[in-house]
Amino acid sequence: MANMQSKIQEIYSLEQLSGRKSAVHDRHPLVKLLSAFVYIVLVVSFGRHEFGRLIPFIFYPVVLMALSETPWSLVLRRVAIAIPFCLLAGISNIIFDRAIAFSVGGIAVSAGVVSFFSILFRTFLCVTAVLILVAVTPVSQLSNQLRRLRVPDLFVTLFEMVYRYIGVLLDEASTMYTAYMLRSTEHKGLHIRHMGSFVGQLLIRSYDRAERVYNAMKCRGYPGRDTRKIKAPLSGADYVYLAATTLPFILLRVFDITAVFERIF
Amino acid sequence: MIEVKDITVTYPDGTKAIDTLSFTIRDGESVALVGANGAGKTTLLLSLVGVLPVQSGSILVDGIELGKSTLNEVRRRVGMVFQNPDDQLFMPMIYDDVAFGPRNFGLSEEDVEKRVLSALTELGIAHLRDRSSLKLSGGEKRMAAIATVLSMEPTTMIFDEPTAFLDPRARRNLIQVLSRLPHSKLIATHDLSFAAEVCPRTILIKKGRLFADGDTLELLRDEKLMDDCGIEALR
Repeated sequence: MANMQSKIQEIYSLEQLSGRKSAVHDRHPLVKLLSAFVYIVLVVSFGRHEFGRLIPFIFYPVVLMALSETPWSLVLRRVAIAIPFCLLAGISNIIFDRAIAFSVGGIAVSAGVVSFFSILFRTFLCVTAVLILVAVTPVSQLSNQLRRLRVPDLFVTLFEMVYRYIGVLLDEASTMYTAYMLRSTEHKGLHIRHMGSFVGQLLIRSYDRAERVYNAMKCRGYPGRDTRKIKAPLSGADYVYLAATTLPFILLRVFDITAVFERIF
Repeated sequence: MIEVKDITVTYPDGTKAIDTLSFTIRDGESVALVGANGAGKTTLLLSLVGVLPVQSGSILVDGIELGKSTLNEVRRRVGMVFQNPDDQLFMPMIYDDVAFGPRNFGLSEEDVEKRVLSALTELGIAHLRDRSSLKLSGGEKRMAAIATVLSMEPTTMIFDEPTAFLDPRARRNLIQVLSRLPHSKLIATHDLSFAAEVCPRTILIKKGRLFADGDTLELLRDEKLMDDCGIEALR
C-alpha cells in the first residue's frame, strides 16, 4: 500500500516542479505549448530512415532542462515507461526490413536497424518534450491554453478530470487490492478468476464517483462548458523564446546539415 | 428560507426514499438532520438542490419554487457541501475550484477574484489558493470544499456529513467555522455531539418520513425516541 502511495505521488511529482522560477518557467504557457507542439511535429515528420538528421534535435531537451533546472533522473524514469511500447513497435522493422543501409567496419547495418533506432530516438525526443512541458507549466495553465487554441472543451475537461482523478482511482484500487490480499491466503497477487469482478468493481466505483463529481459541478451552476476567461498577453521575451525554440529546428528540418558535414568531412 | 411541503422522492426502482416530508428552515437557522443509515438524509439534501427530482410536493427557496426553469437561481441560493471533499474539489488548483461557481454565474473576473479571496480568508485558508487539492490534508480539503460554496454567496448552506474524514482538531475547527457563518444551515450528520454544538434545532427522519422536529438536546437525549428512530441517544 505504501508502495502504491509513493507511485501515485510520483505521477504528480513532475508537475510540482512547474511552480518554480526560471527563464523557461516564467514564459507564457502558450509559447511553451506551441514550442513543444512544433518540435514534436518536426521530429515526427522525418522519414523512418533519417536517423542522422534527428541528432541535432537533442539540443531542445538538453538546453530546456538545463535552463529550467529539471532533474534528468525524474524525466528519464518516465521516458523509460514509454520505451517498451516503441520497442514492440520497432522490432518488426528489424525483422522485415533487411535491405543494407550502410556498413561500419565491415559490419552491414540494415535499414530495419536504422528505422528501429530512429523510432526509439524519436520516442525519446517527443516524450521528453512533453515531460519538460509538464515540468515547467502547471496543468491548469496548459488546459487554459488548449482552450485558447480552440481545442474542444470536452477533450480538455476530460484531460483535466483524468489528471485530477487518476491518483484517486489508483488509491482506491490499491485499497481494494490490500483488502483482497489480506483475505487471500492461497494466491500471491490477484488471481485471474477474480480479475473480472475486481476491475468491474473499480469501474462501478469510478462511475459512481463521476456521477457525484458531476452533481457537485451542477450544484455550482456548471453549464456544460468551461467558463474561465483567458487573458494575459504575450511579452517580448515570450516571442523570443518561441522563435529560439522553433526556428532552429524548422531550419534543421528544411535543410539537411548532415549532408553539409559529410561534404566537409 | 427553505419551505419543503409534502415532498416525495422515489428512485427509478420504485423505492420511496422520501415520503410526504414537510419542514421549514427559517433565515439564519442552523438545523441538524439526523437519521439512521438509509433514512434518506442525502436524498433529501440532493432534492433540495434539484439533483434528484421530487415526484410530488414542492420546495420553495426564498419564495422561489424549485423547478426546471428556476434551477440555476435556486442553486445560487442553496450551496451544498458534499460528504467527500474529493467529489467537490475537481479543478487543478483551489483558486479555480472556489472560482468555479461565481464564474458559472457570469461574474466578471474582478468580482470572481474578490469572492474567492473573501471566501478563502473567511475560512482561514487564503494560503491554499494556489495549491492543488491533491496535496491537502482532510481538514484543509473540507475547508476548501466549504469555500467552493461560500464564494457563491448563498443564503442557505447544506452539508452532508461534514465531520466525515476529519480528525478531532479539524473537527473542532469546523465547529468554530460553522458557528461563525451567518447563513441558514441544514446539516445531515451522524455526529450527535457535533449537532448539539452547532444546531439548536434537529429534524429526525426515519425511512424517509419526518419522525420528530424540535430542540436538539431534548430530542437527542430522549433514549426512547432515538431508539425508535434507530439511533443511539446522545449521552
